[in-house]
Amino acid sequence: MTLALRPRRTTATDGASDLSPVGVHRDPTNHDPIAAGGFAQRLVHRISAALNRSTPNRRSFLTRTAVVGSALAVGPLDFILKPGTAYGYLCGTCSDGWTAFCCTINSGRNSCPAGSFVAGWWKADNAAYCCGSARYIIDCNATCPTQCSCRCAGDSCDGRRTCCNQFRYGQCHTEIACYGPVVCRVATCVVPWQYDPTCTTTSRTDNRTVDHGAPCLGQDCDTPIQRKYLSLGGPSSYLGSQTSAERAVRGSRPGRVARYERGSIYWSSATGAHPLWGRLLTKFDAAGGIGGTLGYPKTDILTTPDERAKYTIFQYGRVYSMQEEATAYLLTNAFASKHQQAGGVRGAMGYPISDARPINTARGGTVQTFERGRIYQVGSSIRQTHGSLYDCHQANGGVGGVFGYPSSDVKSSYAGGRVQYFERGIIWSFPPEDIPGQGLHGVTLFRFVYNGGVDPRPGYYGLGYPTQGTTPVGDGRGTYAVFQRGHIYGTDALGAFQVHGGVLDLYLSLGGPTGDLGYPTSELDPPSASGIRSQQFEHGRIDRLADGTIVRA
Amino acid sequence: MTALVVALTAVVAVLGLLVVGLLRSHAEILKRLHDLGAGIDADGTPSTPPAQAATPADGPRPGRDFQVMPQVPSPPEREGFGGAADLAGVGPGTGETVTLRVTGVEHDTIVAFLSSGCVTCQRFWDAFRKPRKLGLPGGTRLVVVTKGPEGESESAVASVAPPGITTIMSSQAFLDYDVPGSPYFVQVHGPSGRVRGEGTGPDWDQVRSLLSQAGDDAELAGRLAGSNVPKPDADAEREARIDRELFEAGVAPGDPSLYSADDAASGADADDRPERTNPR
Amino acid sequence: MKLESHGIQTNLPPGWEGRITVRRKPEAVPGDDGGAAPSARVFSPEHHVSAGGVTAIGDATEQILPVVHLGNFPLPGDRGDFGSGAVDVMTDLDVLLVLAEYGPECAGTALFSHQGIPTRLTPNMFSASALQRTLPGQAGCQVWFTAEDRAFCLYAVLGRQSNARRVLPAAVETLADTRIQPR
Repeated sequence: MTLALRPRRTTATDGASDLSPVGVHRDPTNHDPIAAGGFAQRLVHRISAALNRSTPNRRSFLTRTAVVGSALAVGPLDFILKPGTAYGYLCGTCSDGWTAFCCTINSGRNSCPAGSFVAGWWKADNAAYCCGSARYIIDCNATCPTQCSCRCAGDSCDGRRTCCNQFRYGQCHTEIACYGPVVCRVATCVVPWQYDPTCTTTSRTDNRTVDHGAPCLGQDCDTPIQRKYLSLGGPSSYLGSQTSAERAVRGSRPGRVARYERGSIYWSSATGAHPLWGRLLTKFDAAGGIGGTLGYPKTDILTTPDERAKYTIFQYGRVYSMQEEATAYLLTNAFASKHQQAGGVRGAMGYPISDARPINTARGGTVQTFERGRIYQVGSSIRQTHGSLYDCHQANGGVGGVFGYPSSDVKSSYAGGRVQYFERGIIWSFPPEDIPGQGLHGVTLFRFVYNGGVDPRPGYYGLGYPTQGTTPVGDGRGTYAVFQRGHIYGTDALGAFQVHGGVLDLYLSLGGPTGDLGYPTSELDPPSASGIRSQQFEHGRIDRLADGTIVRA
Repeated sequence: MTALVVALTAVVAVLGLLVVGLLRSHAEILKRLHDLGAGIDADGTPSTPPAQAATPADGPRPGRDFQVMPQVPSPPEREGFGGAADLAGVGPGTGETVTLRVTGVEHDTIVAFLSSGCVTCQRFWDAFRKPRKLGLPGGTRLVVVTKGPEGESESAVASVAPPGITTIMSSQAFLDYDVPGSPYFVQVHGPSGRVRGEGTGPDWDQVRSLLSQAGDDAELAGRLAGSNVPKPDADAEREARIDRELFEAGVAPGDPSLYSADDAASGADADDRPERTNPR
Repeated sequence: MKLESHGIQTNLPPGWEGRITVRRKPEAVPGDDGGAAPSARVFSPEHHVSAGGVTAIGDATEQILPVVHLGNFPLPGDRGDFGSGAVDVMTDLDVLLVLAEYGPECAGTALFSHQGIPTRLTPNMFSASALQRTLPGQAGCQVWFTAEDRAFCLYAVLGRQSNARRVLPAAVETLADTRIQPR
C-alpha cells in the first residue's frame, strides 16, 4: 500500500489565522486536521468526545444508545459475547490517539514519505525492539501547506491515524518553522542525529511509547540480522531503511535474510550475519544467491590493503569488487585457495581480471585470469601459474600450445628459481624475476632433466637455468635450448645432447647444428687414459685434449 | 382478529418483561454508581459522595475531632500548626525539583514519612510496590516523603522508591508536619488543608485500618455536628448574659479562676504536657 | 508556591503543583582503548540501579535538558516529557503546562524565532489536533520561543477545550510569574 497524500483544500479552516508571530507554527491553512478530515474521521472524533463526557445528558444517552445499536447491528453475537466497548467494537484501536508508523503507509518503508519532513524525535528506554537499548521514534510532519488529511492509516479502523496530530517534537529541521500534522512515525534504534543530521541531540523521553509497534516493523530485537543492522548504523548506514521484514530461508541452506534500500543482510548459523550491497550483492545474486555458487557470506564487506577492491568471503567462494574498473569477479573456493597460496591479491597473481570461464579446447576445463597469472581447472586438477612462467606459457600458446595444461603449481627451485611442470614441458625462471621464464619440451627437456636439470646430478656438468627455451633450429630437423652454462641440441631421431665449454665455442664457430658437424650424437665422453675427452657429432668429432685445447678431430 | 390480539398481547407482555428487567438492571447500576459517589439525584444533578457530604465544610480539626491511631502516642497539640503544608523537595535519584500540592485541592493526600534505613519502614516500602493492593480510599493520593539529600542517601532512597508512587525528599516537610520519626503517616483533607488523622503502625494493613477508622470518625463527627439540636433561646440568652458579666468583671476566656484545682493539676497548659515519645 | 531549578523559576498559584525534571544522562561505555567511545550507547535489558541511582539508557552524547511540568492537578510520577501519563488523568478543568528546553543551537532558529516567554494564551490558539496524542475533549497548543538565548517549547493542554476561558487565566498567571535566567 502506498501513501496517498490526498489533495485537500488549502483554505484556512475554522477561520484560523496565522499565529506564527506569537510562536505557534502550526500550518495556518490546516489548524485543525480533524475538522478538515473526512466525514468518518470527524464523526469518530465527535463520538469519542461525547462518550468521554463525564456528565450524562440526553444527547450523550442517545449517542451511546446509537453506538450500542450500531454494534448490535454490525455483529450482535460478537458484540454481546466479547468484552469491550461498543465504540471499540466498531472502530478498533484507530482512536488510540497516536499516529501510525511510516511502514504502514509508506509501502513498507520505515522512512518519511514524500510531502513530509523529519521534524523531531523522542526515545523510549528498554524497548524490546532495540535489544535493550533506547528506541527512537522520529516524527515525520507534513510540510506546509499540508497536502494530507486526517484519516485512519490504511483506511481502516484497525490501524493508527495519519495526518491528525499537529504536534512537533522540534529537534530536527529547526530552520523550518511551519509544520503540518504528523504523517507518520519512524521507529529506529539509531540515534536520530545520525539518521538525519539536521536533528539535534536534545533528548526527549516518553517511555509510554516503548511498546508501540506495527506488523511491518522489524520486531525481532534478538535476531543477529537486526543486531548487525544496528551495529552498522541502522537506517543511517549504507544499507538505508529496511524495505521488507526479515524472513527465513528454507531448503538445503537454511538461514535468514532481510532486505534494505541498498542491500541485504544474510544470516546462517554457520556464518553469522553479514551485509552485502553494491556490486558484491549484484554478483552474489547473479551467482544464484544463497542457493548458488557462493552460499552465505562469511564476512562483512572487507577492503583490500591497497584499497583497490572491496571483497566478501562466502561459504563457497569470494567476490572482489574492483573500485577502479567498477566490476566484480567471483572466485570459487578452489580457485580462491590457489589464489591465496600464491599470496592472494598482494601476491604473485594480483587481482582477478575475469571470472572463471570455460577453456575452448578439446580437453575443456575452466580458467580464471588474474593480473599476473591464471588458474586452470581440468577435472579435479586445479593449478595456478603466474609471473614469468605464466608469461612463457602464454607465449607458447597456453594450454593449447606446446606445453599443454599445467600439471603442477609454481614451485620453488634451485638457487631461488621457480619451476612449473606442464603436461608436455617444464618452465623455469630464476632471479631476478624480470628475466622471462624459459620452457623446455621434447628431446631438449629430456636431456636437461636426464642430466640433472638446474640442480645437476653428481658427475654431470650443470648447465644452470635455461636462458632460452626449446627453440627450433630452423632446419626443420631439430631444436635447441640455451642455458646459463651451455646448450642442448637435438632431433627426434638422434636425441638431444648438451654441448658446453670450449667444445660449444668451437661447435658454434663451425656453424652449430647447421654447420659441418651437424647435431651432436653423444655427450662429452669421460676422460680416456690419455686424458682426451671427445664429443661425437653427425659429421665429425670434437676433442678436448689433456692440456685443455679444443680441436676438431 | 382474535389471533392477532393474542399475538399482540404476547408481544406486549414480552416487551413489558424486558422493560421491567432493564429497569431493574438500571436501578442496580444506579445504586452501585450512587455507592461509588457517582450517582444521579432525582433532580438530575450529580450526587455527592457520602464521605464528602458528611465532612464539615471547614474540615476536621487536627488531633481533636477524632481519635488518631491507637497503640502509638498521640501527637501533641501543636502551637501554631494550623494544618497541612504543601510539599517541596527533590525526586530521589532523578534530580527532579518537585512541588506537591496537598492543600486547596479536591483530593485527600496520605503523606507517608519514611526512611530508607529504618527496619519498620521496609515493610511500607515493600507494600507500596503494589499500589493496587494498598486499598487506598478513592480519590486519595499517596505521597512518600523522606528527609532531604542532607539527611538521606539519595541512591538508597532511589533504590527503594516504589514505582508509580510519588516519592520526594524533603527535610522541610518533616519540620512542617512536626514528624516525630519514621515511619509516620498524615492524612490531609485536601479542600480544607486540615489534617484528618496521623500516627503510625507496624505495617500498612494496620495503618490503612486506622486511617479508615479516622475517616469514619471524622464522618461521624461531621454528622453529629450537623445533627446538633439548636439550644433553646433561653439557654442561649443565659450563656450570653453570663459571658457578658464575666467579661465586665475582667474574667476573660481561659482565666485560671474559671477552672477547678483538679483541672489545673491535670496540666491543661501545653508546656506542661509530657513530651511525645518517638514511636520507633 | 515557588518552584526553581536550572535557571527556571515560577510561582505556582493555589492548587497548582510542578516539577522541573532533568533526566539522568546516559553514561558512556568504555571503548576498546579504555576511553569513552565517541558515540557510546548504553544497552541494557532493564534499568540498572547503581550507586548513583537509575542508569539511563541511550546515547552518551544526548543533551539532557530540563523539562518543567506544571499542572492544577496531581502530576503522576511517570510522565513523558510532553506529558503523556499526565494527560491521561486530566479532568475537564485541568490544565497542564510543559516547558521543554532545547539545545543552544536551536535558539533563534526559525522555529524558535519568537522572543520571550509567551504570556498570552487565548482559546483560539488551542486545537484538539495539536496534541501529542489525541484524547477526546482535550486541546493543545505549542508555542516555540527563545528567552535569554535559551530555546523552549511551551506545550499547554486543556482537559476540555470548551473550558478554555475558565482555566486559561490561571495558566497565563503562572506563565507571567515564570522567569528564565541565562545559562
